[in-house]
Formats: sequence, C-alpha cells, structure tokens
Amino acid sequence: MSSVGGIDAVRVKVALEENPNDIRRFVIDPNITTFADLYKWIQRAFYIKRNLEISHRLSCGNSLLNFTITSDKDLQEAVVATVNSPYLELSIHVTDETVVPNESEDWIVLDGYDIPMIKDIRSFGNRLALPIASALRKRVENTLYQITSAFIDTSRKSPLGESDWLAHFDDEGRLINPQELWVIVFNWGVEPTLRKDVWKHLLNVFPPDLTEIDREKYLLMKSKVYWQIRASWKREDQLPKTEPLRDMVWKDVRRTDRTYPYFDVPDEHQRLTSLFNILVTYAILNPDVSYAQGMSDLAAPLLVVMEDEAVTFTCFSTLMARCKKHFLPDGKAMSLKFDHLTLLVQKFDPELYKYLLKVEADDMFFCYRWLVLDLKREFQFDDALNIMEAIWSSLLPPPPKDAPQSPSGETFNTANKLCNHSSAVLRSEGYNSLPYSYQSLVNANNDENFSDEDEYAQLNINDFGGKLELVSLPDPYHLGDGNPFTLFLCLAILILHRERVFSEQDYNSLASSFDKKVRKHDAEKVLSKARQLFSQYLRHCEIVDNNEFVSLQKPKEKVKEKKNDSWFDDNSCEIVSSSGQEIQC
Amino acid sequence: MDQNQNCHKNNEFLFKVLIIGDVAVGKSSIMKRFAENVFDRKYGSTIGVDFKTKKLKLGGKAVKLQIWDTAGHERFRSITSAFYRGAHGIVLVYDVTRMETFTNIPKWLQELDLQDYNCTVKILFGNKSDLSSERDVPRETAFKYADSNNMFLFETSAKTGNSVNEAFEHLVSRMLVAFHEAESTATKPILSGDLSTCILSEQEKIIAGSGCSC
Repeated sequence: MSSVGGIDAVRVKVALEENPNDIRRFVIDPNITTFADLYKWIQRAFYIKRNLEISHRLSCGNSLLNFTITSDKDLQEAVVATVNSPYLELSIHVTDETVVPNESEDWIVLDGYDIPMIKDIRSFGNRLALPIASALRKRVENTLYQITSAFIDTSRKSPLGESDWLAHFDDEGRLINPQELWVIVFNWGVEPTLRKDVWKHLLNVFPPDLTEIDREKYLLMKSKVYWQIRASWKREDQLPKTEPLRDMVWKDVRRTDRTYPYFDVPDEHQRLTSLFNILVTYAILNPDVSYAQGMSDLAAPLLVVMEDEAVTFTCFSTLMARCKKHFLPDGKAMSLKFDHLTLLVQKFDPELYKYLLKVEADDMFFCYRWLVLDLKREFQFDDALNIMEAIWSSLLPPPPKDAPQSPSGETFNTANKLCNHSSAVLRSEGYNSLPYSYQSLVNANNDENFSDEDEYAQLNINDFGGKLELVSLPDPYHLGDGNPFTLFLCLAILILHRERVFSEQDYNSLASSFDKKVRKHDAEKVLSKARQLFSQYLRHCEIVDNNEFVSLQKPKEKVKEKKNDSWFDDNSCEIVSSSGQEIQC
Repeated sequence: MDQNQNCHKNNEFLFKVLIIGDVAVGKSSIMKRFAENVFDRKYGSTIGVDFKTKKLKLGGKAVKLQIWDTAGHERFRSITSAFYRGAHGIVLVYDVTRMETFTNIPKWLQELDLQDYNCTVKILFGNKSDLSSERDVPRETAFKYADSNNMFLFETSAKTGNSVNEAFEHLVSRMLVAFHEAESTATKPILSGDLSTCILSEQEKIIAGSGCSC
C-alpha cells in the first residue's frame, strides 16, 4: 500500500456483529497493512477460522454508515475517512460455516507485517493531536498485549535497539507489553548499550507496573539496604566471624574472568573489591547457600554490565533466587537436570543417546559445569552475555497487572487459547519464535498470587498421540526444574558435536573433548540450534485442540514411578515424581 | 566408566588419575602444567570435574593418562566423588603456603577410604614450592607424614613447572609396577585387558609397603 496521508498508526476497534460487546482492539500501520493482513489478524483475534465479512462503521452526523471492506483500496479509504476519529471501527460478520483448515490445522503466517508498536500510538496521538485519556490508552495497550504478541516481526535481524526499547514504556515509564520484549530478546538479543536497563527487567528486579520514578526509588531503597548490610559485616568486631567465608570468596574473585578487560586489573582494584563485597554480602544474607564456587562466575557479568556494586547486588540476588538451587549441598536440582537432559538426548537424538550409553556417559555428569553456571563458562565472556539474556528471556516475563490472569472466567481461557494458537501459527511456519503459550504458562506457574491450582492445571499440556518414540518428557513447568531452555542449549551443543562424540572411545576422551571447547563454542550456532530444538519441543507441548484445554493432574496428585538411578541420594526419586506431568512424545 | 578394560592393550597402558585436594591449592594448574605445559594464574575455579588426556612413554611403554581434575569445594563433593570410581592413581595436593590444606590431607584420604579406593596408588604434591618466603608447611613435617602413610611426596610448582613431570612420571611408574605385580600374582591367568589387572593385590602391598605405594 502506498503511504496513507502520513498516518503511520491507526487504532482499530473490531466488534462482532452478532455480539457487539465482543470487541477487539489493536493498532495497524496502514502503510504496510494489506487487507489480507487485516483479515487474518481479525480471524486470529476472534479465534475463528470461518470466512468473514468486514465492514467499516462510520458515524456521519446522527446516522451510522456501513461500508464493506473487501480490498486494499477499501481499507485505505476507511483509514483516510477515520483520520479524525479515535478508532477505525469495524464490524465483522461470520458469513459461513466453512472451515478451511490447512493440512496442519494451523493458520498461515503472512509475511511482511510489522509489529504494531506502542510508539506508534504515541506518534499517532501526537501527530493527530488526539487527546487520548491515559486510562483508555492503557486498556488499548493491554488488549494489544494479547494480540500483538502474535505479530512479532519474524524477519527482523537486529537485536533489541533503543527505539524498540523506548517504545515499550508508557508516558510515565511503565513497562508495557513485556512479553513482546522478552520474545525479541530471546530471538535476537539486546544491544549491549541497553543491557544495563533491559537486564534489570529480564531479571525481574522490579515489582510489576512501576513507573520510571518508582523504579528509581525502588533501586535506591534496595541499594541503601545493601550498603547497610555491607557496612554491618565490615565492622571491625564482626570481621572475624566471616574470615573463612571471605577467604574462600577472595580466592575465587581473584581468578574470576581475569582475562576479560574489565577484570584485567590489579588485585587491589575496586572492581574486584566490589565483586568480593557482593558475594560476601549475599552469602551472609543467604546462609542456606552461603558462597559456593561458580557464584562469582554468575555475578561477574552483572557487575560488568551494571557497573554499580549495589545495583549488581540487587540483580545478583534476583538471579540467585532461581539459581541458588544449583549450589545447594543436597544436589537435588542438579540431579533433576541431569535426568532431564538424559531424557532430552534420548528423545531428540536416540543414536547419540545409544552411544552415550555405550561409553557410560549417559549420566551427563560431564555437563555439570554447563548446568550449574547456565553455560556461562562455555562461551567467550561477551558471547556468554548473549546466552544469559537468552536464558532469562526464555523464562517468565512479569505478568502484566491488567492482563487476564484471573483464574476464573472465560477471558483467561480465551486469552490463552489465542496465545496458544498464535504461537502454533508462528512455529508451524518454522519461525524460531518463543511460543507465548509457554510464556503464559510459566507466568501462571510462577505467580505466587495465583491461587486456584485447578485452573492453572487446566492450562497444561496434552499428549500428541504417540507418533514418535515413546519417551516421556516433562512439561515446560518442570523440565530442567523450570528452566527448560538451558537444557536445550546443552542439547544443542551435544547435537552440534555429535560426530566428535562418536569418535571418542570412552568417557574421559569424550569429556575432555568438550573441555577443550571451554569458552570456544559458537554462541550464534548453539543459540539458533537450541531455539529450533526448543520450538520443536514446545510444539509437542502445544494444545492442538481448538476447543478444549486438556486437564492434567496436579503434580501433587500424580505419583509416578521412576527408576531411582540418581547419584545424589534416595530422595531424588521423590523429586522426579514431583516433576509430575509428563508428555508422551 | 570402566576403562580397566582398556587398561592394557597392545602394550599400551591406560590409567585414570584423579587430582584431589583443598580449594585453590593448584590442582588445575598442576594438570595444565603437566598436560599442556602452561601456567595461568587466572585460571578459574573448577566447577565439578575437568578432564585432560596426556600420553607419555616410560621405560619403553606407551601410557595414556586420563586425568580428572576435581573441584576442591566441599559443595561439589557429591559430584566429584562420583568420579572416584575406577581410578588407578590419586594425586593429593596441598599448598605449602597454607598449613590447613596440608592438615586436611587425612580428610581427603578418609574420603577415598569411604569410596573404597584405599588400594589405588597415591602420591602427595606439596604445590606452590616457588613461594619459598611464604612457606607454611615445613618440608620435614610433610615428608615425615608422607613416609608414615606410604606415599611419595613431591614438592612441586605448577608455576615454574618444578618437579611436576617427575612427580607424574613417578606416579606412572608406580601404577605400572602395581599393574605388573597384580598380573604376576593373580590367581587366574591374565588375559590381555583383564579387569583385575589394574587392582593391586595383597602381595603387591607387602612389596610396596617399604616404598611408596598404598
């Protein structure tokens, strides 16, 4: 379409003719949106596969006119006619019952669409000088959140840049549409200069829905607390209590990433002191995990990016909330990860699995460091940053405050159906997009306020019919102890090096061949392979059924026998059981 | 992980060697010095276990060493001890500049006892011998201890490379002796690559008793 009168964003409000209260709102860029795009989007938004008749509702004095839209030209005219209205109001009528499914039962993804950005709303508002009440905008944006997530530009090549980033804040600096952000980061990464800001969000440092000012206050408060705690253990009379701890931490700090320019400084340098202070303070505040080797590896990149001791501490604490399990002496989390990684290899590369069995490496112990440090050591420092942010973005974005997360009612299910389906569409076309279904599932799973377990259990996974070898895989809630993507990164490395694995005669040569690759793996290749495998896995987790959510038993009700071959302790059997739901694939 | 099967093939020997000891005594540095002849002070802490392979010729015999460098941190004990199984040689390392790393050696020996590998060839490395001004563990004390525990002690420096190769060569020769002793004293005829061949017999212990083996 040619340029439409300089308008680069149009807000669209679509109502169902049969039920005018059933409304969807979203934003289109009229310069690139074809009628066919609009048609598909509306189908998706209402979750219908039938043929539609779209008409433009235009108020003209006291009367209401309806113009049918059937072409790009009609759409263009409708846009121009709406220039002084807050919305392009459309009404749709379902014309027939014909379901025209593709062979795959999934819809086709249209090429060449763009992400309806929030910045577009702003520019729209500014350019047309339309006073948009912020409440209204918020509602629109929340609706957008549900719909636009389906419209990520899969052809983009560049990492999250400044304009993308700024577009994800409202006037007061509240983060909006985080899910879309997470997906961009997951697939394309973040411009290094933005990491300082983006990472705080990826790590969920802030409570949801804070304005920019509130966030600053929040960080300031956190920092203040940090300085106080730090000062308290640094008091002369307190120092002897922490001597062995400080000894231990210092031994590691002075050998953590010292070849990286930031830490390529004398031992007495403030940067090393900061890293040391952060780790000691964390250990004192968290006596259950205290300090364990490897933590310095996780804290160092945060310090490099944040360049502020107190802020780094806050980020590190939130990161450790998830990772501390890796370091607990009981080893349960690690045991579970080993088991699950073995399952993944078995499922995705049976030949490789057989070979690992043969050399008795199916315990995957040689991947220990990979799993403990979320693969941080396996890549060059800068590449490791990409890997880390990919892992973080594969986890939960903060649940938007007004998003449909109510455990009861139709909205929730509808929204999730929409999400599920959209992701199915993207993936069935072979895009490496992070499925929203998974994100929203994870959301639900991790939201502590999410009280109704029955509802949440309903949002789970179905089996997909024994087409493949019968290997049970845990669902994304449980796979890798709730961090499935790290396992897929490991799997990707293994698969990318499978030929090398086959050439190794025994456990030791196999393990040492991977040791030779420390800090040398190709991050780009590994990430892209891992995304592909992860998508494949999630596709299997998809709820394919249009109409029904298949209810799964809650973990606590399901007791599954599993061989107790874990090397940690007898309790590991219990953990595997509690991993609960499994998908037959 | 039973490489005993490969222990002896076509006059080539394959031994699994484990390096254990307290945090930051230089275990990884020793391994890197021996396997690659490099030293890097900035080498990061070992998480779990690192693996290296080193081939050498000793007395006309080709020996391949699989070296398993374990993390010193208590926290990783559950994983590192999983690797103890099947080791033919154990390198126990302490830091001559830190007494506590030396006094912890009995704890490490106990750890091995728990794993029922008290019959493997063991050798003691007093590392960081280049830091003579910071020495905390007197030579005499250490040698006396080693003697009374039937272990050979080498004071090494991974940094300068001092005595590292000699110590490993000694370990290999001890493992070869142990192998042959076991072979000659075994009750059953030994086939090449037999499982039992790398395990020391009672007889060998007596012979080795005066020396440095287990």
